[in-house]
Amino acid sequence: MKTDNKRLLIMIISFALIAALAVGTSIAYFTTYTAAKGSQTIHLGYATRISEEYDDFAKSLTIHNDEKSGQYVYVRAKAFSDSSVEISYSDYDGKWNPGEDDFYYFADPVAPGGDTSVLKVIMVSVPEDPEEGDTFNVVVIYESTAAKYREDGTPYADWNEVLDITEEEIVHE
Amino acid sequence: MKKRIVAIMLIMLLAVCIYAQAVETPLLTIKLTVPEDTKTELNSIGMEMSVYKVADIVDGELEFTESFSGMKSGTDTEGEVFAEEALGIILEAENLPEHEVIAGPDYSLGNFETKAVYLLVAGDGGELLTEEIDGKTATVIDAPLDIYRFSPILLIANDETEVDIELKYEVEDKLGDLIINKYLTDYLEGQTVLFTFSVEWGGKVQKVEGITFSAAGSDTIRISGIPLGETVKVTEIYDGADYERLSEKTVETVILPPELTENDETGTSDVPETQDTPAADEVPTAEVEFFNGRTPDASNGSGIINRFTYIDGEWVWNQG
Repeated sequence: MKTDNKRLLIMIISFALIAALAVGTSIAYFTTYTAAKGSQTIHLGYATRISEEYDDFAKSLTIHNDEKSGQYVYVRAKAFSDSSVEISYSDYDGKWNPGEDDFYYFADPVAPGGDTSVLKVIMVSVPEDPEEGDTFNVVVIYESTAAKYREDGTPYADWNEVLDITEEEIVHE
Repeated sequence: MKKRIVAIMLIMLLAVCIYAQAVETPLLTIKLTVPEDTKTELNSIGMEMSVYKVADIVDGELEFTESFSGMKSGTDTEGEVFAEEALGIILEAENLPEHEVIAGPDYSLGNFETKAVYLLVAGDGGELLTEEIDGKTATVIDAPLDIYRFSPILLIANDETEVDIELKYEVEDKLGDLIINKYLTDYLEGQTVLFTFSVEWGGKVQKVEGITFSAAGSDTIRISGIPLGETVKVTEIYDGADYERLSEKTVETVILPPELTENDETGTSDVPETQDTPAADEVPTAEVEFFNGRTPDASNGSGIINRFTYIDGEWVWNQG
């Protein structure tokens, strides 16, 4: 009997631990995913972060898909500056490619917890003959979208998708 | 016979006198060539060239006019030095020496004597304003949109009857500020959103700026160093992945000084109603507005502003 009680206690504790893990720790951001066919519960939020390093007029960007997103995402990025600055892009593995609207697109979906390879944003030329106090800015923006899947299972990105949902269907975690 | 000869000689002498009077000393026409791109503004501010006769040239020597009788310069004096001394006399005189005025729109006048030395001094018909530039005196016209600086022009007229002088000057833009007012009506919790703007004038994107939001509300950025009178085009070039534009993507405005914003004759139809009319001692300013709201796009994202400032001979990078 005592052994049965122990086993029961272990099972209860195990279930409790599993339940606790499923709830998760306090969430500082949200995740985006859709349920299976049928009604959708949309959890809107942001699970990607950008890391930048700067060196000698070049920014090295890496975009991270947080593990808690629970989904693969596609990523794109681009930079803006004024006409006195010429910008070019490069990468080391050929996975960043130019596409529509002057974005650079990362070819592969990024797994939860994964990172893109480095995209380098290079300031090829900066303002000539500057005077003390002159300034210029380079704005870098990035976007992600959840990977969608064709019938054969191949992933793709739909950057124009607008979610057809009402506010009530949105869960803010 | 003798009487007849004397009569003939008298008639010939009279004829010579009449002929001599009929042949006038040729006069000099001075014409200014004014660049077309600035002619309109120079006309509007009443730019004129005062022409002072400094000296006559007699047998290769200078005979200074009364107003310039104290000059020490001579025929072997370098032109710039000569002009500087003559201008100094004009500026120190209690009353301006006698002079002619060449004004627009033709900028031409034709009753100057040849074989003379003239000094041409630009002004606007009012009190002469001056500045020292590299040790030399320039006259200044403080126009509403620009500051013009002119060097005096020394003209040595020999026998020519027409002289064409290309007007040369330095022009400095007067500058003002642009305020971008950004309003976000709804915000998606979880990540900051960066709205990005380009500011264009003179046919080029001159500035790129961003405003970051972490909540719904409003914020502004001020951009300085924009030439007055230029049409400024402000475009929201990035409006966030989860947000939609609720106002025009591009807005145009013109930054004007107080004296022009108070006068409808300047054609202020392009000036937005939001433009402030700053006090005279404040920087002229114009304002534009952009509104955005949330849209449930399936994508999301953010951004970073990298700011570079030129300090002590190098570009210094800051983020944010």
